[in-house]
Amino acid sequence: MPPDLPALIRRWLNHRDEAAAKTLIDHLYPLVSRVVRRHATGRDSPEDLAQESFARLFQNLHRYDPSQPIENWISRITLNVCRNHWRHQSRHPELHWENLSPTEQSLAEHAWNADKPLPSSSNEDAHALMFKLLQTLAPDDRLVLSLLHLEEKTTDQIAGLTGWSRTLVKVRAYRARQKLRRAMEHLKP
Amino acid sequence: MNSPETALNHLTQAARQASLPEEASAPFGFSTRVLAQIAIDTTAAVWERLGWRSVAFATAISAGCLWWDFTTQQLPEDDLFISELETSLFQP
Repeated sequence: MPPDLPALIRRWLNHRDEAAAKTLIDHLYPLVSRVVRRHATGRDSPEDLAQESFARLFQNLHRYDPSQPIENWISRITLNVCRNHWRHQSRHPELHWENLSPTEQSLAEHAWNADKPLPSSSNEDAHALMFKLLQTLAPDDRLVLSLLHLEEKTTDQIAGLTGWSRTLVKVRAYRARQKLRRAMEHLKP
Repeated sequence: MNSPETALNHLTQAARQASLPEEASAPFGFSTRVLAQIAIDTTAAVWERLGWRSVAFATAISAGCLWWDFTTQQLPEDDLFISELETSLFQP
């Protein structure tokens, strides 16, 4: 049976009830973990990002509007934490064919030459390579393309998650896609 | 050879289908760490607020002292004597 989230929130806000906070964390953790793991790469620590997201959630819980699902709110907070984390990281320089591992090179070669989609056995490697490519972009570009192409979110959903207008999402996605295409050209064998 | 757009589409399509590890429950001690971080952040925020209030209070006190000093200051007696002397000497 799912916990009564509004009651847990009230208990935390009114009495700083740690048991309520722990139940809330346990309930929301799979969602936060999923968002973080979709956006964190090898050099990020998913657990640290999840911890930071929950800390932000509790610090701002008094601003939460109970008429909205808390899942949307925590997703938005987590994405902001990821984006801020990327801002503090140095951006990867351009990625070139010579920088790729042999597996990544064969994957890129396949993507350039094949008529059909890549075999499903290479999905995880493709995800890793895609992330390497996305890391060469600015945080906002990286975020919009991850949400749009990897998570298949709609423009409306991205606008809701990021707080940007629909027009801004479309413009940013279009420009980011152009930059990604240019980055892909460096991976020509 | 495919166009960059097609190559990118192939790569995106495969990346989208990647099965990423998912965690069904929080690791042991995670919620305790979160609560500890909230406590630390809250304490730090209190000290920061207190610090800024102290700066504002100290500035207000300094400004008050300066104003009081400026409004209550009197000419030293020597200065009064010289000014009286000057007035008496140059009077016709």
